Amino acid sequence: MNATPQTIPPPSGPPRPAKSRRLVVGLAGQPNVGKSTVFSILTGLTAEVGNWPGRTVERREGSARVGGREFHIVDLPGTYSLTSNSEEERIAREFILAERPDVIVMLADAAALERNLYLLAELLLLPIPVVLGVNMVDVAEREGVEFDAHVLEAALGLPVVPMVASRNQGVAEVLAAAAAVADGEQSYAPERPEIAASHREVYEEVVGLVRDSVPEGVPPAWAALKLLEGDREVTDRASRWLPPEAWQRVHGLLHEHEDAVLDVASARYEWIGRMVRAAVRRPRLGQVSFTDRFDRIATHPAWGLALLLAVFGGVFWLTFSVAGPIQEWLEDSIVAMAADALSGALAGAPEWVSGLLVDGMLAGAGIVVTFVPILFVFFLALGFLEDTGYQSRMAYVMDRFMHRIGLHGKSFLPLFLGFGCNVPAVMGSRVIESRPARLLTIMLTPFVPCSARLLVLAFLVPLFFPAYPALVAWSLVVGNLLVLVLIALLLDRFAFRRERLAFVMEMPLYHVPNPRTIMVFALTNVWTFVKRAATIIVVVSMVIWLLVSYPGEHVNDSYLAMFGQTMEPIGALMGLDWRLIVATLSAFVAKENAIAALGIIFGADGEGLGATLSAMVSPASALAFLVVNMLFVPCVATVAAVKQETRSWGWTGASAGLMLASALLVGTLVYQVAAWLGPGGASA
Amino acid sequence: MLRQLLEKVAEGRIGSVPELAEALDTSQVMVEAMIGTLERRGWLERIGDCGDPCAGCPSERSCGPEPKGSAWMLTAAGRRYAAR
Repeated sequence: MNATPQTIPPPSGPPRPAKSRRLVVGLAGQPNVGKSTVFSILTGLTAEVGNWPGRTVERREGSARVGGREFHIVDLPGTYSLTSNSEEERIAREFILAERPDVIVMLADAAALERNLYLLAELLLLPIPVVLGVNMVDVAEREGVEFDAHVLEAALGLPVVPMVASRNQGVAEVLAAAAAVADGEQSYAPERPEIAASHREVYEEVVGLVRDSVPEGVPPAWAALKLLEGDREVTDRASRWLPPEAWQRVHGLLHEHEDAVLDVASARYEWIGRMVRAAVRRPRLGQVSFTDRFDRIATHPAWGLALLLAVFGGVFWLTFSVAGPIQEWLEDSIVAMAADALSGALAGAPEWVSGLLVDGMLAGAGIVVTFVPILFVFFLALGFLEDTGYQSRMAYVMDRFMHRIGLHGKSFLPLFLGFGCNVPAVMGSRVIESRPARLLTIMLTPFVPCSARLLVLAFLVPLFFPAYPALVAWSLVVGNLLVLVLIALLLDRFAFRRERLAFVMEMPLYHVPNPRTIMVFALTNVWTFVKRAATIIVVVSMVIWLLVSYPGEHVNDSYLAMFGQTMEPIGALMGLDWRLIVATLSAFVAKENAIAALGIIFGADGEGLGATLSAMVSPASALAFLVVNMLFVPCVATVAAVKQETRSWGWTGASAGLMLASALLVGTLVYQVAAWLGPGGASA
Repeated sequence: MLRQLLEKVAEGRIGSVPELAEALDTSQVMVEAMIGTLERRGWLERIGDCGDPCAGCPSERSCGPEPKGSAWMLTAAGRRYAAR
């Protein structure tokens, strides 16, 4: 290094005579602990950047002068441990073993000491003294973490220096402590982790076998632990270091005690637990404890599921209470006014043009657009749940529930995404490696009520059941999920190999949601929906109008009626006449088309859609219609996604057939039971 | 402690960090640290984000909100070690 060393103001306290020997300091630590900041403060303009010999990883080094003492600082790559898992870890330990710095300064994050001390546990096995700089103590304090450096120092048996590197606090002190240890002025008697008793004997035997064969500078105890940990690099080298007989014995021991790695790592965590027990105190009050307390309910197997269902109910109630009246107003005033205005503007145009635009496009796509308020409130509620952190608990509770019915641990994400849209959910199943588990997930995903189906529900339920819409909608969603569970149980039992895999989930703390984030989320989703309404729904609306308007004068003489009437024998089982059947079939293109189709077919009678539907469709038929629309074959985009992911027409057909059969079966059951219980017979 | 954590995860009865911390009588930070070690060892596999499966999907923007937080699945190697 040719540049003049960076001069750092000495730490406070009585001046000490400067030593002449330049000390080489290795700066170690896990990623994101402020190592770069400390290195920059220490070395300033003297820093040089190159590559580690033969590697592509950056090597940074520079000089510093503290209290007249010169230091050469080498910034080691950020690593979580010193096992040969990565290039960075191999570089860090090779530097320590081969270049032998005078001292290692290891930086740790004060708020996550437990995570950081694992690296310290490994460093202490190497023959270089270590000084611990605990950085970001200000951040830890803000998070309510109390950290006592003196207690930790006493427990560890090595110098511990609290630091706030971003404010240049403790930087000179940590280097002064490093110098004191290197010069032997400060005691250094570290408490090291020991291997668990169950593998101590084998560890000692391996140490004995490698002791006389490892190269100079490699501690036998460290080499033995690395062998027991299954470290590939050390194992490869040991086969060359050791005489054949010794290697045979070591190899046999390693094979026999393959699980020793667990005891080695366990011992380190038990050591970490002992070290921080008295030195670190975590908050018991405030946000963290609120999260803990609330999670006792939110993630409880029974209460968590009950809360989830209650939240679903609450979302529907809010949606209907707030957005329902706005939607009605839009339909009665804006769409009606637009229809009048458009009819007036097209007064001189041919009748079919007026019909196509007013009765086709406006009655179909227009009525779909009126439920933008419902969509907006619905997505506001979902955004709120996401931003508070509760949605992760929803996923966790659902997953645990799914797990019990034989689903793969990885299924939760695709199934959870299915509540938004089934297409990415089906595609998301490709994260599951096992084909049977993936197929099971793909078969079940279309049963998850997507946002389009939920919105169809949100729109139609108040029209059919104005007295208690939230209860009916909630029951339909719960019923849909029960059908999903039943199908999962049947498929798991009869079609797929039972495969249960465990998983663990880390959930964010609950926090006050950000209104802007929620608003952006809701508006983005509403805009996506409006674009859909402006394209595919408009086209389908016009096609339905054409089919419903020709060739006869009356809707009952139309092509659509002729087509629908051929299916009425099946529909009769569910109380569905040809109009409800074709509305259901139109949903195959996009789920929202069911509303557009009803708007065109029933709107032809000149009444408001709600009044017409309640007059012409019995409650039992309405309930069966809603059930069938929840379970019917998914939209064409989902079917295409199933084909793409299964690469099989057979499985695609099976998926569509399963849903169709479920819709017919459950729809018939619901209609027959409802009709028997009393709420009306066949539709008018 | 790491062995107990692996065994608890493999049992599959509890799967959240707070519950595991309570079961092992330790802090959540400690459990998170151990999960990191298990992940680097290849005994747990992180599965917590939508990632590539959504990329390029025409319905990506209408996809439901992603669950926050992280999730890990026990791998075949993890299951083998937990069983020993």
